Amino acid sequence: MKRERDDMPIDPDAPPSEEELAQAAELRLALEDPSRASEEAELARALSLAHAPHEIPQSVHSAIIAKNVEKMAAKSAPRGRVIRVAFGAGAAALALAAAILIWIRTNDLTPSTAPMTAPAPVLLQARSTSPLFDAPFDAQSTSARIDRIAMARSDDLRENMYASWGVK
Amino acid sequence: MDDAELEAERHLVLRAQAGDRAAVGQLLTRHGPSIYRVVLLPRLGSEAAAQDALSETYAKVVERIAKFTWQNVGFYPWLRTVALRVALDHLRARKRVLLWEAEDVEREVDEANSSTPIDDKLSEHRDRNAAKKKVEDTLEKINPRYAKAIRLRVLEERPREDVAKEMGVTPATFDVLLHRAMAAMKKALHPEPGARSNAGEKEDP
Repeated sequence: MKRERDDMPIDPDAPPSEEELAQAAELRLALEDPSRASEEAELARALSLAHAPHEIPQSVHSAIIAKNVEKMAAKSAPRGRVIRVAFGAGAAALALAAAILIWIRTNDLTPSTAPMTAPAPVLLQARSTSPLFDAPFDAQSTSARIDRIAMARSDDLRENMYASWGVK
Repeated sequence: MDDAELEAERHLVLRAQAGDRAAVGQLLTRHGPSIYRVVLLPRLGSEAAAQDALSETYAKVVERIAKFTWQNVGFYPWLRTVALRVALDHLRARKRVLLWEAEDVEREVDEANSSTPIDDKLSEHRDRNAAKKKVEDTLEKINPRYAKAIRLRVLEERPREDVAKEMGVTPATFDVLLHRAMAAMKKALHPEPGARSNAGEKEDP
């Protein structure tokens, strides 16, 4: 004879033990009153809901949606405000910096406006190196010759730079 | 869902991903009731737990919708996977096992992650039948008299006295019968590891 448990007879209508009577009464009460804790009553309700699940009441569903969509709004709103504030502050700072720069440049440029409108400086042009040498060099002494050319070109470059900057 | 409906839903998803709250609301209003009825309620076995889980599911949707990739099977399969994960968390946190064990839902989550578009399209239909089938299959495993007691009193929710009369016993005896039936059902749903599945079940011919 097969048995579900050692203490449970296979005959569904076999006489119950005292313990079974107590558990059966507990199940009956819990089925009538869902607030009573009972593992078997919970399983019974789960079976019922799985077999024929109810629709969620529309008002309950709407409230759940509203609660979570509001979270979305609450989550995005501060970020939006932060972005707007950060962007506004950044733009204001940039505007202030630009204004200061314009003011400084204007002050700096006031005296130098004249050179801007003055004729372009005359720059030294590339020219022959012949005038640098009044006597022929010894063919073996190329270093001195090159040094003299380099020094002359370096002087020309410096003069041109000063002329371009309006220093001279 | 036909192509036009899919296209409309795709636009809704795009709007939702762009932060349109109304679009999120429409998506949840459209699919939420099914998720509650055929995914969460059967697996969690109580209305309160299913409503909590639905709210958690929506919170995750709001949080993660930007990561959702449209796959031309609609929004439901993704929402279902999110809901299954929430249900799994609930089941893992529980001390008592009812109809579904955490391992069952874990398996479903794995299946959802490796599903084909056809599986996804059928998921809603399958969910509708899965819970009922689980109950029916388990009832088939237990003594027919226990199964009848559960059908009449629990599934059909008929009054105790009526069911007792139909089963030919006193109400007090029916209480014992139902208690035994529920114990047999529990054992059939979750057999102890290593135990043979012969408990509370039909006798051999």
